[in-house]
Amino acid sequence: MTTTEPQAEPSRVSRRRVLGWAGVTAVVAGTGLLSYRAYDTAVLDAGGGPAHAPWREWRELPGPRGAVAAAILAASPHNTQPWEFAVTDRSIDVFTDPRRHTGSVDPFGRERYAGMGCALENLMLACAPRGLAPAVTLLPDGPAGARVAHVELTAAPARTDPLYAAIDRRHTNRGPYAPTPVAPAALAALADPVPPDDLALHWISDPRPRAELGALLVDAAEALVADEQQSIDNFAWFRPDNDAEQRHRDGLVLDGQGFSPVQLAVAKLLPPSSRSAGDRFWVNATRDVHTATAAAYGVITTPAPDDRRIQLDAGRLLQRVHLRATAAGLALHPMNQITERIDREAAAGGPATFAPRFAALLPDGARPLLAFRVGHPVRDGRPTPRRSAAMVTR
Amino acid sequence: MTRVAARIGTAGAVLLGAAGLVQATLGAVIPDWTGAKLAPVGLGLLTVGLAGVALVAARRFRTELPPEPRAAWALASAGPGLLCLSTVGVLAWAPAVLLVAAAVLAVADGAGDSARAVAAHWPQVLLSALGGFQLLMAAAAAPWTMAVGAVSGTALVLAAWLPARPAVRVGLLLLGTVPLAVVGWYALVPLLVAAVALPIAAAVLRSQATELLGKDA
Repeated sequence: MTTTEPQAEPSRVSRRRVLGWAGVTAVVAGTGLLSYRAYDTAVLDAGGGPAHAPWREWRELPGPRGAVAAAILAASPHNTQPWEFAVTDRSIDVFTDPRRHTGSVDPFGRERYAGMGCALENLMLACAPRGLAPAVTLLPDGPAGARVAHVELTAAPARTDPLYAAIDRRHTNRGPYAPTPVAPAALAALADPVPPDDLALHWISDPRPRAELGALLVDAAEALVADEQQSIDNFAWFRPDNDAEQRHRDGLVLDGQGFSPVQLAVAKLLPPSSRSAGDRFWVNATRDVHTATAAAYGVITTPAPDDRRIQLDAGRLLQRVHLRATAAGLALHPMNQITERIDREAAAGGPATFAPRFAALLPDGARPLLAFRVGHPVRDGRPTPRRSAAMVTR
Repeated sequence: MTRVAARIGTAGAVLLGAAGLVQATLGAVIPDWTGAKLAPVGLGLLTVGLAGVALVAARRFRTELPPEPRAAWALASAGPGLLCLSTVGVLAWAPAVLLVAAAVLAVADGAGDSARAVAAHWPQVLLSALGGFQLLMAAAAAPWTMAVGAVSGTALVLAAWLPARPAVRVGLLLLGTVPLAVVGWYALVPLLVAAVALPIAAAVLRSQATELLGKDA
């Protein structure tokens, strides 16, 4: 070090300077550690890498493979992407991959089939812009078959659809929503003009029932994390860092949690959270963000929630609602912890505690299949990792 | 000893350059060997640039140098070797060992003098380290941010060592801190690097001004 201090009391000044620079060196070393974390977690490249390439490349792919490239951008439970496709020039077969499940969180596979319906809806929407007219047959091998749909393709004039245009802008938005109500007419515009057979979409937007459903969602989240097996199965799909995200190209990621930019950077720079910390974060977010800022809830109901065809149709309906919400500038966030607890209690054979509480908030005879919240977003949702069309095509 | 350091450093730099070219051209094809990087082309080119710095350092080892520049060139050899462990995966192992070994050999003669030279320029060393951190962050950044980070990191290292007028150094310092802090503010660490670099740079500039005044006197 250069000595620029006066010569009086040289040893004391020198010691102070040495200690000072030692402190500065420690700060630089700490900055180095954080820089390495920034490098390792790719904080400066959020939404980059091959795991997010399908969001950027899907429009360029022509023909049936392009339709599959749109299908894989659909919503799925815990972003498990439980789909596979067999593609020819004239048809697409859609299969469910039973290995990609959430275990005790979805013991009857209800959400998995709804996710398959979401993918099928995107696939159907992506055919027309590619000059293909799709004709779908659901469950051609029966409800137990792995093939959930056969889509026959014929040539047709190419045409566009506003929902198709929203496919790559649709993301689950787990962030806070603005305290602005969504007008009833705007909610009604999200639904199908004529609902699919055996399905109904109910809106819960009045303050009192909305608060009751919010409280039920928080209770369900707490019950789910208190159930160790459900907590484990929930956490199994969490990808804690960029390496895991890029390697698996699926699952729940920090980018999808609705954080502000600064919160997201801090979350990425900190060491990966444990399962219990993740559970606590989710329950707190459910109470303080998700339910506290929901403008309205949508609940898709049916008299027969165990029917595979209805589950597929419900998924297709959810995807359409989400795409319409996206096109209208609204945020949407599927919240299925209540039905996950209902199914868990049914699978375990114990007393039903959540089913009657949810039923009390719905019209008589309506049984819940899928639930979500909507609102005006404070910030945009972010894309989540995807396996490419090539990776899921047989 | 210095001729041996020059040969080892040259070998390490050439190998590192080759590793960078492999990363840029085949990185996506052989990810197990190249660290499965998200931006192999950018990282490969960055590695080639760092190999160039290391090659210049190795060539300088051939000449007789006073302790201070010798220590600086040793850092210019070891720095790229260590940084490239994060840019080209397994391919960097051999060149990293060679470049660090060359740096050690280069300062082995008169190690005490070199240590004193490093200590005398400790603020510059810290500033260079911060520039290296920026290069590291840039290696895993989106393309535009990567370019800004590469320029910033290089500018910060130059600001530490370039024998230039204070105005030029201040310009390099601002170029080395502000753009990446603006482009990557949301990642927080670029802001931290800038906040840490500025007072250290002030010390560097102050000591340089003191030296100049001393010469004038």
